[in-house]
Amino acid sequence: MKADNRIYINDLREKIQASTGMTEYQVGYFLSSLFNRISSSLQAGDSVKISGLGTFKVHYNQPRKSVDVTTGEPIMLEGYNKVTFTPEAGLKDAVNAPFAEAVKEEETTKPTDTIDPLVRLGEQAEEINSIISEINSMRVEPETPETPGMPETPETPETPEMPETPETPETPETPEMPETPEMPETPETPETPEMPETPETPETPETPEIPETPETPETPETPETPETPETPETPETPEMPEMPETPETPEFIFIPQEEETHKKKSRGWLVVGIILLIICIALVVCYLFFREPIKEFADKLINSRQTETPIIEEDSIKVNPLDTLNVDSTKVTDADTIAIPTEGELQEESAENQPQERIYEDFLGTVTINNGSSLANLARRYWGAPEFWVYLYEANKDVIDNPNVLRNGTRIRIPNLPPSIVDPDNADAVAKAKAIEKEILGK
Amino acid sequence: MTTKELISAIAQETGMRRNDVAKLMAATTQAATEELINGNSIQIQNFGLIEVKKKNERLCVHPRSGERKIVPAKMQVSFKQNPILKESINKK
Repeated sequence: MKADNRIYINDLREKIQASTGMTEYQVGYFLSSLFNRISSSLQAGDSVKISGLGTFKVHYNQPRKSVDVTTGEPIMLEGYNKVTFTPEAGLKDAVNAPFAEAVKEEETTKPTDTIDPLVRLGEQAEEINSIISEINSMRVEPETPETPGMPETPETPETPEMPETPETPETPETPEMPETPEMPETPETPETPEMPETPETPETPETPEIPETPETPETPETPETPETPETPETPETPEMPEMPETPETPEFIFIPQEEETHKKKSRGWLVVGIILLIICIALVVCYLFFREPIKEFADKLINSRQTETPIIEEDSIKVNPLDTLNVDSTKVTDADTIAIPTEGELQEESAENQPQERIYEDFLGTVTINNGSSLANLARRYWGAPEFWVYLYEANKDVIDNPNVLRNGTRIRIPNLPPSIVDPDNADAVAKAKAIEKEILGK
Repeated sequence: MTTKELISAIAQETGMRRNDVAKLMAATTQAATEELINGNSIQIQNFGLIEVKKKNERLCVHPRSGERKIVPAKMQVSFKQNPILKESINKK
């Protein structure tokens, strides 16, 4: 097994000579030809398969980035072809024979490795115990007083069954698992770790010591076990009896099952939670973004219905061009309180349009909306108080859909208002503007 | 290229009979296998080095379950190409 033990082509040739009985020249010629052929074939990019040995193949190593060790500069290493050799299964196994045996031995002596998973099982049992104890304490308090009696003789339930059947290891496990829910503190947890380290046999000597008197208190426990089935351990208990004869291997199977189910459950809950969270966030975002548009849409719907009713009453031709104006003007007039109570709708319209035209005929100029400018800002700039933005809105209703949302590039005309209306020091003017604001926002 | 093709090619090149070449071929593979099993490495001039390397046991982690596992030690056949072979392969 020396790594440096090298055999050269001459040694190989001698060996072949001995086995085939051919001349040195023949074998030498053959060998040189053989490797020449292989390399020429590899040169052509072909793979060479030699039965009984393996396959020679050309593999292209991609160019890759690297760093010059001395200068630290990134350099590009060129790609190159490389001959790889994959041994056939027979050769691979033959070479690995000594270690393959070792692996087999390890497999047979695996119980040493079992400690780790069993410890995990013990930890899980602890967790389950604590959970179940919580549940029990929540549900039935009278059970807890029974528990203090338990820890004194925890293994006793095994004892009555022990004498009946010599295959005790099966029975003790089943009673222990049901016990766990009833034993909140941690008396069983030490038991479970003990199980893997020391086989169940050491417990059997204990059994003769205890069995005489205290059996009666334990018998009530076995009836209690049926209560536990509500708890998640019920699937385990049926599994336990299957385990019996060869305790080690079934435990192996048992652990991954529990872990997998545990993980799957937790993953499932996690996924469900995340989905719910996303939905909630989406709803909130939708609400925030589309609250205004929805309101507008709803308003439009309502307005259109309102306007439709007059259409039925009057000639459709008359009302159609006016219905949009009608919607806007009714509100404005209400706010301004200048509106005159009217009998007919046509009169109403004319009356309503009047104040608007009167107020907003004269314009100081136009302002183009940029990022961040709002009607309130403009109002403050021109009239000294942000409350007067309502007049801006009314003057530019045709270009502003929503007073809270101004589109960039919107051209807003600044109306020339009499100073009495837009006097920031006049409380009446401010109050009036606020009243109009309420009307606008309230609609 | 399979063994059969290799044998016929060598037979053509050397002028030997196919049977003989096949026999030599079998003897070669057997000899090589024996040497490798004995732990010897085979150095072939202008071709490369076929050797048996020991891979130490190592700890591996299952990427999905996170389960840790010891990969047992093993012996592996490896091939290292000769620089001349590499050159001949890489020239175009």
